[in-house]
Amino acid sequence: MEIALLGNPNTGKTSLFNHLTGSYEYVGNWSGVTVEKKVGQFKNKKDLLIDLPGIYTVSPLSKDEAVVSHFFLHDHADRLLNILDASQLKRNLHLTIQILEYGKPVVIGLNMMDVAKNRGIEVDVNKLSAYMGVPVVPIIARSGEGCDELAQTITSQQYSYSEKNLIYYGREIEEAVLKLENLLPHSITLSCRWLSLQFLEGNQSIKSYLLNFIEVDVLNNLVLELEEKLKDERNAKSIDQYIYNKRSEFIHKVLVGSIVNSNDQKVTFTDKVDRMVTNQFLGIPIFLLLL
Amino acid sequence: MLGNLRKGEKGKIIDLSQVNRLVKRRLLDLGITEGSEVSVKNIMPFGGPLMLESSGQCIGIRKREALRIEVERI
Repeated sequence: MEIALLGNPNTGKTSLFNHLTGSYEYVGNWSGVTVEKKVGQFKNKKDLLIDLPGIYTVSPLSKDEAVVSHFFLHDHADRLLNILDASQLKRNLHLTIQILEYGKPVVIGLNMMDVAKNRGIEVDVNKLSAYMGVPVVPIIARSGEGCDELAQTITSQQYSYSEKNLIYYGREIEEAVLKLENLLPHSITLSCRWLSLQFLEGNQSIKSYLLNFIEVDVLNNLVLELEEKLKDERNAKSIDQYIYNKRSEFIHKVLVGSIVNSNDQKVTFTDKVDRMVTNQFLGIPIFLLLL
Repeated sequence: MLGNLRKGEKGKIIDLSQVNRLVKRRLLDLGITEGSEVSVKNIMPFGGPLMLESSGQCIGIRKREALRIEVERI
């Protein structure tokens, strides 16, 4: 079985990858460390884990992000492992929604629970799991805590997931999705809803894939028509912004229901160090000193 | 404009329409859009980039881009 590892940049994908496969890939605390996909074997010697570059959304803006879109379109993965930064759920869940829409079984690894707790955020794992409709396993990828349980959850055979759509995007979008779904041949094994939504959001990789089946004029007209409708009836600025807002509404609902926020704004250690090393006078001397 | 705020000041974004499409998309992915509150954490000298904070995350942005983002001081 092949399992793909997905998540926002700098959420600990490669740390988790190393823990789950026992390999030693390079890990760094900044975005874009992984720029191509890497494959490793689970410790059970049966299943494969694929480490992908971090992305904020499936729509690619750069080459390493296009790796992920290409993977979604052309490679085969049986299950998806989505790793989330518990202290940045509001941003991270946008990707999760897109991953769930892809229609393959998903397990969520909730990383950095310790960091979140320091920032006064406590996540109710069971409630989050109920909202998203998939298993959620809390982990600390840096130390390896919870990784064995996560490996077991994702590789276990008995695993079901619901087919129902997570978000209703409103009449205009749903109509456009239906139209696209009808234009696509039945031979496609990918989720047509996912393809349509990604295309409408402006994902260029998906657009070039759809051009294999649908005329360019038909696609462009569909987008123009939808854009007009959303502008007139919903006062939306653009399709991607409108879809983003719909997802944000859903995420807001999820977070209100699953986060216990004690909300005391502590100045974190990182903040203190940052203040020192990025100081306009001290910064460069400190940098030279460290060198 | 966001680029005109001073260090430590906070603003609410009101207009992003002048911003480059890719930058706008990336900001949106980071959860920064019209209506978001941002604070300027640091400004580098000689027209260098500035560091912003929004809902618990810090991002760096070019001065040139920041001067295209319309904000309202709060």
